Amino acid sequence: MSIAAAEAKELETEQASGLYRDALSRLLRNKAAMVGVVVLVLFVLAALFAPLLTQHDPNVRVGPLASNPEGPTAQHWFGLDEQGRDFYARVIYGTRLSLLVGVVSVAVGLSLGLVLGALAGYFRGWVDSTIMRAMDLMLAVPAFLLAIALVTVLGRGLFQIMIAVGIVNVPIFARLLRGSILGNRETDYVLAARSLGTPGHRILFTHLLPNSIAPVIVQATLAMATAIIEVAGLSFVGLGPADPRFPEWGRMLADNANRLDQSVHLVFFPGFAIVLSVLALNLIGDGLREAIDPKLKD
Amino acid sequence: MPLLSVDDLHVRFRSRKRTIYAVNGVSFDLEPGETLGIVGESGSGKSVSSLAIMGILPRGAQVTGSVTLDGRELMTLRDAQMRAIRGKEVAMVFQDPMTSLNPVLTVGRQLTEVLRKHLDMDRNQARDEAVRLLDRVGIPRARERLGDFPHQFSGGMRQRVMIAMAIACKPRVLIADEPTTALDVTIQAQILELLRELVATERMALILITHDLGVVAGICERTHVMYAGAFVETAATTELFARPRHPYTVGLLQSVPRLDAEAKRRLQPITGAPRNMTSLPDGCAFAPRCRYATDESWNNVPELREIDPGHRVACWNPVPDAELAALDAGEGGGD
Repeated sequence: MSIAAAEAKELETEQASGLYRDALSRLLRNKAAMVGVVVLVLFVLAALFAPLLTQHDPNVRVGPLASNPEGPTAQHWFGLDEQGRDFYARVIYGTRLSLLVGVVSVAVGLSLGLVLGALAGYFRGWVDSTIMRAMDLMLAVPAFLLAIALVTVLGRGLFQIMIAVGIVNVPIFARLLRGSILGNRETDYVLAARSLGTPGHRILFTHLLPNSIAPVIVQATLAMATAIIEVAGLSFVGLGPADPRFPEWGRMLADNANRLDQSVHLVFFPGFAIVLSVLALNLIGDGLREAIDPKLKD
Repeated sequence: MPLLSVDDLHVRFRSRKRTIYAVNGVSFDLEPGETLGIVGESGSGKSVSSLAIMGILPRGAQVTGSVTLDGRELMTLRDAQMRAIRGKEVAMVFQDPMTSLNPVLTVGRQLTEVLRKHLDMDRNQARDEAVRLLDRVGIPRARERLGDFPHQFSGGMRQRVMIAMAIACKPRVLIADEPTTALDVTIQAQILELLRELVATERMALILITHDLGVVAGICERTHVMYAGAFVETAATTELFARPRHPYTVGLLQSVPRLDAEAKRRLQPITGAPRNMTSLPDGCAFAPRCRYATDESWNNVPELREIDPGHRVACWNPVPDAELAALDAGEGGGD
């Protein structure tokens, strides 16, 4: 490389700044991920401003009880449900619950998983073996069955369901972080940090964690999508939040599944909301993965 | 009393299947301000020795022997005590500057972390000192570059940052493990010049570990030649280059291209491969590759003994001066 070329390269790299800022700029260039972000932002806005988006209360009857309720009209965009409630209002308010469940359960799984994964990856030895065998045990049970079992034990409240779905995610996060830390703990910069007298906890928190967290962030996005599906699934099999006043997409599907032949709208709208939100999260997750993965760097 | 004294250092890596005898009885003294070279090929135990002195070998390494700093034994120190010495009294520069800096932290953050820990500086003091250090190791526009990340620096500049971190607390011993191996030749010279100048002005003692005899020739007062985890020859650097006595040293010197050699003269590589380190040798570790090996070499391990003042060799049959002259003229060699 000529000196001029070397200098040009140096200048060019000077523009960018920071590993994560680079990743962010790559993410912004990813069209699919941006579509996901837009859709997700719309869902978040819908959840936050639900009362502004519909003048109907999701729990107040505005039409007649009917086994065969009316479909979408200009007045009721998504039609009415069998109890005569505005279905648009119910789907919009349902966003709140789904997003809440996604965020909280991932937060639960992430925090537990991070602690366990960091302990296992940093201390190795028997700590590692004990934690990881426990995680293997949890992974051996199908996730949905595990969630059902946990809800059965913990009870059917909203909070319990979020905990259950979160716990199902713990081994995934723990394994991911542990593997990532193992890959980083033998690196030169960790050795160099030790040679400067950096204590163990600082090595873990300032050197290992920031360098190991990227794949976990990607996984968190994808886990939010599965959490929404899992809660919908739990509701569908009758283990959803006990309070029937919470409009919840999964329960709407379950309640109306037997009306599929007459009132398609009762299944279509909540089903579509689930698919759309999960798709958005998956697009973002994949985009993040591509943006962060060093192997895919240009 | 020497500043740093290493006595009979052994390092072994034991796994279920086998044991690697990485360092087998290394001893040396380092005086204040001295520059010491340790030369050897890959796998001879140079880096392992330096990591053992720093106490940062991976768990599972068995280290025996004694390392004293100002007469204080380091091997028996507790972890926290040793951490107070690392980076403050003894610091280290590593081989590959591309991977030795944390990619997600700014250079300023990594540099100030050392200062704040060891010298109890507050944020602003550490920042000013970091700027001074970067300036000291020759990084232009130091204040602006504090907020830059490692990937925004070139290899040579990163190695300067590593050196700045190592000298931040004015350590009395600086161990540089192949500090120029990963760099371009022109940058190598700059980094070596920087090290030499720092050692001279800051009164630091330097242990320079390298496989490159040319690097040692430029900087070090004394040189130890290492083979298979032990020193085989040690002398003042000028003496070592003028009158090498161990066949391995002779071989190393002959395998370096020389500008003053006749055009037709071929390089003389050392035949054979480095010793497999999974067992301790019965005799001289170099015997299988040595033209001068005697029966004694195969059966008894040679100790370092003084053959001239300040010149010690671990060999049963050192290369005689006369033969050296013949080799130098290009008549010898060619097995």
